[in-house]
Amino acid sequence: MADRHADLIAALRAAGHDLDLPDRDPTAVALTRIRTEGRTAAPSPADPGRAGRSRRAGRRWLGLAPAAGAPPGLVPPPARARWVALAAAAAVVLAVVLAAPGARQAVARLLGIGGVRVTVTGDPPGDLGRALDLGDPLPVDEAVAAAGGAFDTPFPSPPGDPALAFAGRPDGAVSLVWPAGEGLPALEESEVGLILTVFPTDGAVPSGDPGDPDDPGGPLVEKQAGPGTRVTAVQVGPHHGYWLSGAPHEVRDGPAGGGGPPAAGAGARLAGNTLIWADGATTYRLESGLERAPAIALAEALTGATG
Amino acid sequence: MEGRSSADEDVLVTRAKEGDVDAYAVLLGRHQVAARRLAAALCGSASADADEAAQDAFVKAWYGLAGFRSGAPFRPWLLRIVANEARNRRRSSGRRAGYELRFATDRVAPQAAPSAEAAALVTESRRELVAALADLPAAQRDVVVCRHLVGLSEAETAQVLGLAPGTVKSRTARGLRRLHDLLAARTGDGPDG
Repeated sequence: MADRHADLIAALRAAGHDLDLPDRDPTAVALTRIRTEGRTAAPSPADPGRAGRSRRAGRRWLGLAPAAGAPPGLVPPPARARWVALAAAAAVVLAVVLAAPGARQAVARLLGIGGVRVTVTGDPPGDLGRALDLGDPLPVDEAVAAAGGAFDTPFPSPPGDPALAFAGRPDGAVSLVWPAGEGLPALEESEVGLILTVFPTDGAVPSGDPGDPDDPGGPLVEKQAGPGTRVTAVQVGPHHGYWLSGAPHEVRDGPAGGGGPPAAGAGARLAGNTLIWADGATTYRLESGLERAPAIALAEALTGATG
Repeated sequence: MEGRSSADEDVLVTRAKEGDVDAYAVLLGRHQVAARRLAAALCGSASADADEAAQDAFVKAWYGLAGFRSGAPFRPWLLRIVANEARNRRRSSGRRAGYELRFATDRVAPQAAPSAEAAALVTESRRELVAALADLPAAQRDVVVCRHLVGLSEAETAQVLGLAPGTVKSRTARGLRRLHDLLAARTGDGPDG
């Protein structure tokens, strides 16, 4: 192909080299904008900054942003602390499970998708532990930008724009959170309707064994599904995926940078109905109270996985 | 640089994540030409629109550094944000916007334009090339310009556009074939002769 179109490729390359780029330097302007926004540090996750302001109304539904007109001297608690408090309240649905050694040993079969390992066990997940943790909160706009083209924006309505965004769990991941609303049932008694997480992988399933020379590494999300959880192979647009439904299953994130199994008790929680799928080097995880068909339709709409 | 980041770049990224704007400036300096070409090629305009897309992407990338996976190559991560911003602008401009690219005529390689007549031929040939690119389906055009106008590798193109490597390969092949046919139809003879 390259040989056949060698002249055409050369013409394209030369044209790219000769593209007329205006004298105005966007790099200098961008750096000026960054420097004049009043901080030299990369954005604190607790500080929504410029783009986060437009999302404050959306954040209020979870009590993460002060209401308009709040007394100037009234400093709200850090967003992360409020989120943790909220998540603790929603623990009925999205609680954490500490690893049950018996469950891990009773592996019946292993399913995989890029960066996600699904272990179907003979035992149910273990005890309740600590709360949902999707990483550090950050403004939705920045989260969408950081995920590159992983999301198909503008988001369709419903569900509309997400109200919250987090980054860093698993390593390199971005998670968007929507409130329950029209067409989006609440996850049990919480106000959360949908969590969509995206993270980069190389499409392979890490073994989670640091001593495995063939382990492709990368972020690892391990899902342990007990006997009450059904795991069904599905298609999300043209992409292969799995639908986990029924009894809540355990989700635990691997260590930063991969190279090892998720630590017992660390970063584990229970998840409801979950759809996971991979589009090349990007793996998606959608958790909601939806049934399979609407969950897949929503996944396709939010990520443009229709081709 | 393609598969893994360099140690030097890892240090710069770490410093930038800690809030060092100067380190971020060095990173941008290394990749800004590719970023600006990419923005222009995806926006279909080398005008202010494309530069504003690059500029906004650079700012968003700064604020999104918390989500960047340490040790991963920085360039495709940055270019993915640029591509997203450029495609959003193209989408929001809708059908009103055509696909246009402008070239710096003073930078046409001397060997490609040994005379005024030859320079005119190059200019005309470029005009036909851009017109043919405009007629390509956007999905094919995005891949072709990433691969051959901007000069990204297949793997980088896959990451930047959020596609599987196999999809990049097949769309590039189909796009080049279609582009060749479109040029042949326009000129009576494609650049492949």
